[in-house]
Amino acid sequence: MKSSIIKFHEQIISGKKSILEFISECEMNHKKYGEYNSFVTETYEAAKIMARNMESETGTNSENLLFGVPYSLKDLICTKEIKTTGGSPFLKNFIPPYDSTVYEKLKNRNSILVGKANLDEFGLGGSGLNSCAGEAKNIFDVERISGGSSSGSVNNVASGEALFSIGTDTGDSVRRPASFLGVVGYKPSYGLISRYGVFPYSPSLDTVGIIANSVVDCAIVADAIVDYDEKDFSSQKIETNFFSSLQTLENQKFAVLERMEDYLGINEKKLYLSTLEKIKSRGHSITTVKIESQILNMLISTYRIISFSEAISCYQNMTGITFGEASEPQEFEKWILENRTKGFGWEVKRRFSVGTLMMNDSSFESSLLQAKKIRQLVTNRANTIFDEYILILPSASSVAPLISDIKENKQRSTIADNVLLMANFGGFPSITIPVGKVGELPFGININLGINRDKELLSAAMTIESILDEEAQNE
Amino acid sequence: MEKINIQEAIKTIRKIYIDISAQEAEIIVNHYFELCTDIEEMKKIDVCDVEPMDYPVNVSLHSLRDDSIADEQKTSEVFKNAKTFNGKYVVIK
Repeated sequence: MKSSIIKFHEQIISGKKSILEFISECEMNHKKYGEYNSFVTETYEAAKIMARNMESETGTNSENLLFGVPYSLKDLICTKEIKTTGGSPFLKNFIPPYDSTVYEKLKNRNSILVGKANLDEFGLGGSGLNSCAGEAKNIFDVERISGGSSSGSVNNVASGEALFSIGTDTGDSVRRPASFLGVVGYKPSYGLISRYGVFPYSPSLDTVGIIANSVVDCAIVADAIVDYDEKDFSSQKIETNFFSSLQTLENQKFAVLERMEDYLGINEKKLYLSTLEKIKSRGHSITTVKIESQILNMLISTYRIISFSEAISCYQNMTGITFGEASEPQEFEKWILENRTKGFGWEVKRRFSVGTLMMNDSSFESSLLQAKKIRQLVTNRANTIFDEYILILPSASSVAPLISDIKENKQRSTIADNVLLMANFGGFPSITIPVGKVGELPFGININLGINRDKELLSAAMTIESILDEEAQNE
Repeated sequence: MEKINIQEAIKTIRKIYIDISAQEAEIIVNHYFELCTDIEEMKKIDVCDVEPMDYPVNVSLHSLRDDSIADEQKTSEVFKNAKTFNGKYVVIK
């Protein structure tokens, strides 16, 4: 089984290596990749103290696969006593007075937090370039983006700064950056991981996700953090045992969307098609299915209408009075105006402003209603596919774009950059796995199933991961 | 969708307590117009007999929890975010 966590566990249980040695190695990797700006706050010193204190308990934790495992949290996940900025100038000094549920659960498993990962401000972004902590750059090429918004998280795992990371995914923020960094990015079904203590972006779409080195690692972490939580209004009850349910599947029926390869770069297309061939060569079938291009073309607009309006509502409490940095007090309304204008970064202001103009329009109600109907329509179409197939999609149209192309608005997105939104619309589980490289840059595919069919999805992803590993060894 | 000029945009955006410059407003208005064009296209999609989706799951299943008094957030912890304070009051100037 391909698993960094199991390998770590075996080494500490057998005494071949100590937790402290592992944490020190992660810290070394952090020093090596420091210029890539993957953390807002690193906590290696505290992690090493914890590691020293935990060494004597190693023997009694032989069943706990997450014991001592170093991990990071996207810096919009609240950690009591540790600064949680959301990547925003507004909260650059905010210390939460409580823990998020997801952090509490990982603490209960004695995993060790090594830092708070960089991100696009409040998760509103897809590049990793919009953070109060600076731009998170791709560790494979400093000139390229790491993707976003879970930019630091994917870098942490790819660089070995941590063995796994917890991110969030509202549109594709775990799965697309995972493709750019050659790691596994898993967005579970909506409501499986509590969002209590996680800064929101768009509550009807927001999902906490896992970034790790393998599908097995994602399943191990999911077992620790998937749970019903009454503090999250969307929390769902589901039987866990993700790890023990993993199995290699045979003769599976996969599907791909018609003409999706035409929306990829030349080399990415070759990699995507050769991956499909490898899957077929192992006895699985791949059928081409269709969702009308008129609907696929509208995914991004539907997303914008829903997410921008929800985000504006979520952040009305950010005034500099109840939360956030504040300037010198003055007349109440002027004070709030100044605090919010200084406190939010450009990308957040842009999205909030476009959303406000949209919401101020007299036809907004009908536009929002149409968007919500299209959301349902997309979900219906996808569910029809899931009745019979496991759906494979490209995880992006290309490898990680150049930072300069993003800044100069030269990067043109295609339908392939937007199809991951379908999983957020329908609350589906969705996972990106690496399939190879274009030159020196990683690229991935994305696998999807119906809501709450996470165990089947993880088994399918592990099956494909194994096929690709075996093929790579034979090449 | 209604057309909007730069000054109107600045005034409207102030409603959410964000001040933008004329240069920023120009970018925002252009993005807004792009979105308006997409919305017009979106309205051409046939959604007869499709119910709007608010959430992917039925959140109405969740009953509101009872209020309870909890002493979890200590004053000292909350004050870590205050630059200065006097006794149990945050000093804002």
